[in-house]
Amino acid sequence: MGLNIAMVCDFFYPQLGGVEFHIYHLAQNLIQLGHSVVVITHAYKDRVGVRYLTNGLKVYHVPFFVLHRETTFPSVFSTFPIVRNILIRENIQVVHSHGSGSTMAQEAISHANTMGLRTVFTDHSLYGFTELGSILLNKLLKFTLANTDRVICVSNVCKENMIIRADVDPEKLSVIPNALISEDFKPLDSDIRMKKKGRITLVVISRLFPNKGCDLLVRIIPRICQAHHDVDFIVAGDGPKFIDFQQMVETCRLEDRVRLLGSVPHENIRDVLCQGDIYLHASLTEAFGTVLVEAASCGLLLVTTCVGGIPEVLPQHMTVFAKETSVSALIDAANKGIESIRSGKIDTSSFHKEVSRMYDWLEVAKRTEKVYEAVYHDSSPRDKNWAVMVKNCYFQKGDGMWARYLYVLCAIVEYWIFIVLEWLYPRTEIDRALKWPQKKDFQITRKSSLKNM
Amino acid sequence: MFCNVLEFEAPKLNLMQFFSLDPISLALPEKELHNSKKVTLDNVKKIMYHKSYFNFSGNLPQSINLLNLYYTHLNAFSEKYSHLIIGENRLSEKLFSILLKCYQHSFLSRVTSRLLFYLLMSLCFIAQNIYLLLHWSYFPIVTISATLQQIDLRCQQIAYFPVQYLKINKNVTIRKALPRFRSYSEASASLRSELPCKFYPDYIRLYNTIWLIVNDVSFGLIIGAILHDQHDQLVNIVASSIQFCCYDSIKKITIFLSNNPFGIKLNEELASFLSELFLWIIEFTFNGFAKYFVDKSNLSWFLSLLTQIMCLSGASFGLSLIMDFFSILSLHLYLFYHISGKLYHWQLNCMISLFYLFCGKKRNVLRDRIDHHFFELDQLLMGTLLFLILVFLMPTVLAFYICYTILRLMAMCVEIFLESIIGLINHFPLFALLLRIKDPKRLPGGISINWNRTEPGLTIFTLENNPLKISRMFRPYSILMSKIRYNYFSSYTARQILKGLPLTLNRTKLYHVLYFSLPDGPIKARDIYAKLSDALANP
Amino acid sequence: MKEKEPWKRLLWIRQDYPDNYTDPNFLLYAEKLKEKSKRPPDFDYDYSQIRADFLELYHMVLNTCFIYITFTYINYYEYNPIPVTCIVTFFVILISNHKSEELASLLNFKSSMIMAFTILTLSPVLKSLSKTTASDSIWTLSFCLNMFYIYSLSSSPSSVMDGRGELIQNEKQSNLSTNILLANAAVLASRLISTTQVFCFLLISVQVNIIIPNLLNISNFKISLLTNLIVYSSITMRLGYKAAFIFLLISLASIIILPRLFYYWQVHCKRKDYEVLSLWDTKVPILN
Repeated sequence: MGLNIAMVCDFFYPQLGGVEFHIYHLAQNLIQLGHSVVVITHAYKDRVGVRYLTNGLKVYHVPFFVLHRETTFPSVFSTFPIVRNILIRENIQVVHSHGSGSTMAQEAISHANTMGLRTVFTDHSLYGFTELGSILLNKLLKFTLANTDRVICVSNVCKENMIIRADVDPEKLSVIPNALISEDFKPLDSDIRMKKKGRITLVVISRLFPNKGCDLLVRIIPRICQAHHDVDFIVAGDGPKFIDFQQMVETCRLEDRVRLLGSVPHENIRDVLCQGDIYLHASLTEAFGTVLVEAASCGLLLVTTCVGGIPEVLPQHMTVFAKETSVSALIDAANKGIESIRSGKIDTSSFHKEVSRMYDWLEVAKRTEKVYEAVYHDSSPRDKNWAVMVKNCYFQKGDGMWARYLYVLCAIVEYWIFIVLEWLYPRTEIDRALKWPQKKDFQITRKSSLKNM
Repeated sequence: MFCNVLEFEAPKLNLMQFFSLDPISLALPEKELHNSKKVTLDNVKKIMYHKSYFNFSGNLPQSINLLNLYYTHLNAFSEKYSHLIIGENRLSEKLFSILLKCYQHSFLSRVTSRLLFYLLMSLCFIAQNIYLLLHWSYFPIVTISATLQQIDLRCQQIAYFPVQYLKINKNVTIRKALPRFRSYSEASASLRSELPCKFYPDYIRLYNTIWLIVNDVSFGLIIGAILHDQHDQLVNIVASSIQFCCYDSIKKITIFLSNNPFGIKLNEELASFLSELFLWIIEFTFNGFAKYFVDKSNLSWFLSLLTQIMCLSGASFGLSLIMDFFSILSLHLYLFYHISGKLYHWQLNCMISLFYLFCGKKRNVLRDRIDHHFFELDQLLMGTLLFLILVFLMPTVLAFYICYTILRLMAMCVEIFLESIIGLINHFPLFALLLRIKDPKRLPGGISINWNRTEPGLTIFTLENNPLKISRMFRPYSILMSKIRYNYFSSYTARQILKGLPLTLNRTKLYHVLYFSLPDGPIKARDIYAKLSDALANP
Repeated sequence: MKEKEPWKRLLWIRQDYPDNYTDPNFLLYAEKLKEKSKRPPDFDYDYSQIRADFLELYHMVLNTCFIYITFTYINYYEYNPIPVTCIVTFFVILISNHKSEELASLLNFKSSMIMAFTILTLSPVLKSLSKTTASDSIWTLSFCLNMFYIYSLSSSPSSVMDGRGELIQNEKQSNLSTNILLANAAVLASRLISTTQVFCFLLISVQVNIIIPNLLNISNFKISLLTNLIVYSSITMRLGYKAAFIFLLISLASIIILPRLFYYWQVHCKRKDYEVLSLWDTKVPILN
């Protein structure tokens, strides 16, 4: 019998992005493997209450106060009653939270721990140690992860980052990369190519924020345009740095060579990618870099900075790395890429097949399933004993006295609220939700997948 | 075998009762208010076009129409197969119909109707010309004065009476001609296109208007009598209160503002300049015309005029006169508000652009965005000095602006209050409300089917009329109220005030919602004449 | 059974290791990291660079002192400002003629005329601007603006006005700091009594604080000596020996002791594993 899993995250459909797609595809494939999955997120405008997506993926849009960039207001305890109600109603066994930037995810983990449920946490991004924001976030994460059973990271860099940030036992940390639906990112057939003959197009797709290397791009693009007369650019994405790009295009008079598309809906990204030959990536920090995989799957050569998890993601022959995050290094790398495309040294037509063999959501779901099994395999009833959990909070390594006292205080208050809630709204009075009927062919996949394991 | 029976009380069409699927509309069909959002409509459409909802049957409206024509069919039946009907017509009814027929064919009737016809047409013609004069496209003077607006409303109503009469009358003739149809199918076919509920709303609207006018006059008589009784006291009170509210207190406030109000240090030169300017405007308006209004003999004359008008043409005219009087008296407040608002707005705009310069940015008008820009030293010097000067002058301008805005808002509150009273007198759905109490079946707001009882092998339901909801009758008022609230008491207002943009609202446009029983433009007198004479020729 | 292939730090190949396999090298590395945080660092900071930076800051502060010196000269002692203005203007014209080609963009004839006439026209308005405002609030405002000015100057690269190149950020900074300085001067000018005083004060401030630092290197020994001389003598004149002494102490501390302290802090108190931890930080873009 499959598990009842709750995915908790602030970021979910109708918003679109890496984390959102990860949750959606993971949930779909877990449903295919015979589990029952619900998603808990906050309300998006009039999207409040329970919604069903494909294959009976149930989404709870809880009306919480949204503070900034679609993150709910951090209130630690106030979400407990409704989260508890949902978890009991759906008979949840495993709570799987996503993204350390999401307040809801972190709060749900501590609520679930208090309720004695198994918890898994996936982190999608890298955080530094010098900014004030990330320092606070790291402290919060330490509290949350003290009693989390398993942590999943999307890349090895992310895992090592997590080990240092939150002092998590390396044994509890698994690395499971993202994936993509390779059918959605097929290159164009060679006879209907839209590309202009004899010209090379470089594509940039990213949200235009400073940490995506926009300052670099603004300086690189005019210089490459100057050096090569057969090179065009397509820049897709929007953000605070969009004005800089506009100004760059205007001052350097590159209107006919650089196309600024603004934000592009996700379903059209493949069409944008297919218009180019080289994908230029100047990001200054990256945990995984799904867009790189997508670009490679569309048959583009990658010119990229070598930061974070990027070197782990794709094999050497698909990428040209810049040695450092500098304008000159990136220009050198881009020149190399342009040269090899121009001379036809690199055949990018095989990329799609290779990438489709590397990444697959079903594979990701199976590996995640193994993590869930491991949670049960080496768990002891003592794990969720609240005294033990409070002790875990107290004996955090490398934290000051005040932080530890605060952790313990929070844990105790959490437990008190739990007791009060059990008394006010007893478990027995909460209706249990019916599960979406499983289709038969899913069961078959489940069996076959078990055989494969 | 099971069978469902639907019982219904047959609607008496001659008493104007009928069933309707949709709520009866008190407004003209072209003025039906669609205030639901487009987004939701789109979503509903998506659902409606979905396969599972598509078997919506068209039988229900037809069945309802058949139910409505119950008595008509019964009559047709009895006319054709009179030997099958046992009941007999009452004598008095027969007698009445004979008398009516006699009168209709007499000479007297023709003369009266002709006379009435010409009288009506000339009235209509005059009303229309006044309407056109008031709505002169170069300068629609109807927008400036409440009295003119009131005259305009009456003109429109008078010009519309014949049209309404025609609409109702036309239907009546058809209804009477019904027994002449030879066969049942022919009758029902023609009736289907001319359903009775089409002319009932017109009937309600016409009588509502007439009732309201009568009501208005009676109110006017009462208020006029009171005014007449209290004439002398009122003159004194009004004269002193106008002198105090509109001139003395405002003078005081303006002088107060120039002398560091509440310890806030304003710029002396600018403050004294502004206060002198405004004091001059006060003096000018006072000496220009307000002096004559405040003068007691003039005021007494005005009050007696008001009393006469109230008695003659209704309370609404009197109230609109009062409103015009008030807006003339508060003209200087209006001016103050606009002058200070413009000053503030210009200053704010300059300060915003200079602040961009201060930060090394520049507004790009062509692309509508804020660019980084490198300024030369002379530009910087000039910009910064000007910016600083404006910053220092800001509190002074702001103090004047806030003061006059508050005064203007207070005056606006008075105006809104008076206008809503006039609106209520002119457009209250009185007739509909009384109908709702007297006979709710005449105001159908949809149908409901309720379970009645179960007999062996038989379930009996009752078809009932849902009377029109009261909130629906007052829909135009709630819309008007929300519009007023949005314009004068909302975050929009605050934003507008903060930006220094004017808070004016076109009065005619605002109260247009209430003209729900009048068409947008006038119907040409020539057309009415032709149609009316047609109707007169073949009764 | 054949030998297991060594683990590779790659995501795109399926490896015969469990998902929670941790690179033993990294574990060693993490161990080292912890030890390292106890040892002194094995890298060196450039002390001379630190000292030079502090010295530059000191010179900037001295330069801004001129605004207040001029103000005291005009407002408190009520000396006639015209001779001083003439001298300064003459001096500036002299240097600018000497280095005319550099100045082509900065201070041509037209713009200097515009500036002079702007100041001339706006002086009467400025004079009456803050008549009703208490002097104390003006001093406070001026102090805040001055602090903000020093902050904005020190946070932007030393090339204050000469960057007409591509560095957008620098341009933004330079404009902002110049504007703050002008605002400070204008706020102070609004305290003065006569229009002539306002005009002369603004002219001197613009020349001494904006134009001269662009023409000459204020850290230059001769100019620095002159500046120090003027500042200290005027402090002594206005506030007495004690104040001058205190000012001297503070400046000595900021030139000699503060860099030492900063260096000490960097060496001993700062988190040692900073360099290692920054591995996961967002990389700084190098805009060469």
